[in-house]
Amino acid sequence: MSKSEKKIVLKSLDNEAFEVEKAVALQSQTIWVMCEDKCVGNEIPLENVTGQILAKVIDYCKKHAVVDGDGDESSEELKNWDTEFTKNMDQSTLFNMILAANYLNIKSLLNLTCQAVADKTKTIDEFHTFLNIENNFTPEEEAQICQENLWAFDD
Amino acid sequence: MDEIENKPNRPPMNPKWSELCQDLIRSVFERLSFTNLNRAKSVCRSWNSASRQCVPKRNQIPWLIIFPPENQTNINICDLFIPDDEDKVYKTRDLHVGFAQSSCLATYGSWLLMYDHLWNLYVLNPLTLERIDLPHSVSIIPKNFKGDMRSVPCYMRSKAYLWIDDITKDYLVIWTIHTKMFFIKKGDKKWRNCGLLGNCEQIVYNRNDHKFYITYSLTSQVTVWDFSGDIPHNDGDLLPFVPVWIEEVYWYRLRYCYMRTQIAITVSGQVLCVVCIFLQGCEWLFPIFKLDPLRQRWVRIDSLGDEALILDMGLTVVAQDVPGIKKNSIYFSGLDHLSKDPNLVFVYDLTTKTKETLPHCVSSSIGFSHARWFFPDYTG
Repeated sequence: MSKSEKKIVLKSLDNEAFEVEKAVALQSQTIWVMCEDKCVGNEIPLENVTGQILAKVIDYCKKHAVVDGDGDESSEELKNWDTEFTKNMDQSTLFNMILAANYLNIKSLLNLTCQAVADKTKTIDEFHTFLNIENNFTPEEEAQICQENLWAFDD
Repeated sequence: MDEIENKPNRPPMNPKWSELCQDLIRSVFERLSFTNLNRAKSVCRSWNSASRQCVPKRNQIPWLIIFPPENQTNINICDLFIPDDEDKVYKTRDLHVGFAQSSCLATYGSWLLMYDHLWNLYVLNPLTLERIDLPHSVSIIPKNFKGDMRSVPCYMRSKAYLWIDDITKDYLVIWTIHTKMFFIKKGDKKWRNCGLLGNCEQIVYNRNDHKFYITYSLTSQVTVWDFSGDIPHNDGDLLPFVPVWIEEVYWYRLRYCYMRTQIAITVSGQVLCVVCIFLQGCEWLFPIFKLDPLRQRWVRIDSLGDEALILDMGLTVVAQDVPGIKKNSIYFSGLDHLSKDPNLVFVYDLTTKTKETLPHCVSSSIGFSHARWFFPDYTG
């Protein structure tokens, strides 16, 4: 196999190109299917992912490809790396990471980012402020939901 | 120079979480704890509808239920402390139970087995507000027991076991009173007597061999019962006498200590004997022994490993990598459920051999009422 066959170019929607090892990129089921179909050349356009997000996704895939390959790093270290990876992500990055992980079909990354959102929101206020969600219930609906709740959640 | 095209499908700069597709919202929701999933329901409309199609993960941690003190104005509402939600105490709905005149005998999942001052037994789910009244028990109460159950001396107090199926509501209640044991299943019109001659200390069920381990309070003997058939029987199985010689308690200190043994079953079905020692009125010790079934001997162990023990329920649960539960710990809420001492509710860490005190909001809420750890298997 020549060197070029082991590499693959991923192109973001804002036309940023990333050359990566095929083994790294193939963690994405979407890219794997595209390569299998041979309907694309060595350059794969990813129309739903910006360069900024794609760079992070590639970081994640590189880390996980290495570990799966030689088993040098313990799963404990990998877990710590994952924690650090999402620790300081703002809600906008997390949002786009979830969309990207879903589009690229990388299950472990989707799990990780969804878990990060779940961990970062602990109260109704945090849901509203951290995730910037507007409460769009009418007062009647709100009363109804409150009624349905089995025990009181006064934050 | 190439100009970057401004494509229409570019992700928005201000992400709209409320417009995230329902599949992805559900992926987040499945990772929320009980309480947070319930909060997510009231965030916005689309989250509310997503949460309705979501199967939340099972509860994996013990909760503390705090019964209202007698002098409280609303005596029908309990407080709940959920340890992965530190520094917060929740309230149940109005349960329409005068807790001043009722006490909890046993728990199973989210269900409480309660009795009132007239010795009526009922099963209550404080989360779903379901209630099942058990057939009247007056005919089986010994004459000298009439009156308030709470005036009965401690060693003669009644013990019970509850099992109930959340969906079919099939149930089994075993109840010991004075020296007799009674039981009742769903569909029975009255309590059935199954003998037992002695004061019962504790009834524990082993999911692995489907047997009940019943301890006598005066002799500390443990007998093994089978309730699977129509007529419960005791095959004469007897566990070895529980250990009474404990290294830490020398004979001269024994005079100053209060000691009780409790049986518990581990996740894998091993039988444990936990000796609860209250030393000289200030320090708790919990030496633990494991039954060696081949040699029929109790063997001292130092650790519960990755499990935590809920002493009131006589079982251990998995506590590795679960937020809100401490492994190698004992969830303790007193040995006599009519005592109202908030100092008797704690988590004892066997690694550090220390009591972990409850957050202030919980201890202040306990006041002079009683509380117990239970393990809701409620899923939303």
